[in-house]
Amino acid sequence: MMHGATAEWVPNVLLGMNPMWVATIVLIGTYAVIITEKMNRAIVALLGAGVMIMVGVLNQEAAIRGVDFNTIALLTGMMVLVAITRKCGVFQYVAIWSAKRAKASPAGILLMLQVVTAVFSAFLDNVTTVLLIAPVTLVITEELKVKPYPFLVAEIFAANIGGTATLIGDPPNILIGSATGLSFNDFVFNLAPVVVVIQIVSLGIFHLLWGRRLHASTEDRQRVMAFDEAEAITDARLLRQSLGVLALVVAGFIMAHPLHLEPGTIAMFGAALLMLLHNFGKSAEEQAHEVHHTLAEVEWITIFFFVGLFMVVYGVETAGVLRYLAEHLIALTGGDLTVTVIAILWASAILSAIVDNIPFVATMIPLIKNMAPSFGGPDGLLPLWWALSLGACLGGNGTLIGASANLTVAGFAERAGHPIRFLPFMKIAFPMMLVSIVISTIYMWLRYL
Amino acid sequence: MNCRTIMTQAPAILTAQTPVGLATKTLLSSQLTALPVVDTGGLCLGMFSLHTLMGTMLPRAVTIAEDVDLSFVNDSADILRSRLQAIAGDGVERHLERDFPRVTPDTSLVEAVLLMYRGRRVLPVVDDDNKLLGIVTTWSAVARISGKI
Repeated sequence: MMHGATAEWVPNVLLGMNPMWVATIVLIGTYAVIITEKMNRAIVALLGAGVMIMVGVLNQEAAIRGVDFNTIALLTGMMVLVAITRKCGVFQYVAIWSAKRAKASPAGILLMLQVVTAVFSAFLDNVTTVLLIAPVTLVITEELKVKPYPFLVAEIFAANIGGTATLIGDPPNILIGSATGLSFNDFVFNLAPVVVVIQIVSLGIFHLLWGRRLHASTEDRQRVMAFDEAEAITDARLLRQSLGVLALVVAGFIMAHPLHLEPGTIAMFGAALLMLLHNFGKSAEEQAHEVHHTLAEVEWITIFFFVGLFMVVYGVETAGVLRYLAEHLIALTGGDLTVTVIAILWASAILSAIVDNIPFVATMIPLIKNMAPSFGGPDGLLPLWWALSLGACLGGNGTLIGASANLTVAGFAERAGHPIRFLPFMKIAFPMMLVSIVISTIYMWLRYL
Repeated sequence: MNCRTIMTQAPAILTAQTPVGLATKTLLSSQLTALPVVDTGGLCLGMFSLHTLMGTMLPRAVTIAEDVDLSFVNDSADILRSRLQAIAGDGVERHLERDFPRVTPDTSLVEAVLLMYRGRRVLPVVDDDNKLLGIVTTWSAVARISGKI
């Protein structure tokens, strides 16, 4: 669960100031600086957490209690698994294989790479997915002599859509799953159906928009067909080890509830197991070198951002701000589940298109939890969690700054000489994001309301 | 001992507008791995190198994502040549390495040798205003330090 018991600590703020106001100011200040992007977000979140403790909203013990170590372990474990697995070249293999299955037709490749990105993204972090797919995409489009822009934009969408389908696909889902105890299977059963529909609609739109107009010469297509995907596999032994451990981890996620295991334990155990296999038989010096490099690939900025953010949000929660906001939100929606679900879905989508969805979701989780009494207990909140997930994950497609994966791809595109600009992207992306939210609204209405 | 003692005159200097095709010929005939590029005032803009040329022969993704593997690509020598030819008319300004490390005549030998040990075979020597004075090469460094020249 996201937070432990809160009874032990009572805020004791400097100069007797009102904890609610002080915590709110620290939260808003932290958010404001994160939004400006003038300062690294990990630094800002850790500073915000430090201020929460310094001013007495939290003490150190309470702050540490606020950190969701299940989320931290899940993120870190998956990062380690991907860091090792990517070395064997399996992701490149699949991307090239899919391009060749499309007979190297640009329209077919556009479609196939979206599908591959969406599937990868359901099981990997979105940024990692585009880091793996975008370079291969650039190689393929260069060989075909077609502009990479449509492919890269479509991959941004696929990464954010695919990531919505599972517990581990996108950080907001990891946060929600960990805070609520919802399982990997719960996410798949409740979100995957609508994600598949949204992805199919997205494939159609991108085909009509760009795919049908893409053409490449027979000679250029033959060059892509001459790619030897088997050569992309650089380490067959590591491939077998990685796929074996990944299969075990996914099986672990699916069986987590009967096994009474948290996703963080499963991911971290899988990471340790793959490191063991990868280093087995190597000298102590080689092992130290390998483990050092593997752990260096963990995105520590993200991890420390989460740590700081958990503390800031816990400070706000402990000060009673979120309970206060939840009561007012309930009053605003009249305690009507339908209105609340739709409000959360759309507000999450619009806000996530503009601001980082991670701090937003981290704040919304305790706020929604506080609504439980109005909706008949924790089970009554289930539609709200799915609305939050769909809104926060899909909303990231709305603008270029809506999700980290968008900025990662934009960085590649810029260096490739085909920059993705904010406004041209938004002209296509925002309406498409709204289409995905309309589909989500219909889905929520039909299934839960 | 400092870089002044091992500095030599550059066998050729390229200007920003020198076409890549001509710059490549000049580079190959110099038998160096890189040549300095200057502006009209003689200020050092960077280096045009074989490393840069290697990059232009490959799919551009390689220069964007460092860890991309191209073992699956079967491009022929003709295709690699066509990539080189495609940029032959560009000025070297578009293809030079701007963040190339530079030394001054007063830079210590150890510092220069360390830069060369880390992969730079040619270093531009500039004054405090970044005006090109000469070059230091691995060959000149080893020859003069060892006393063989």
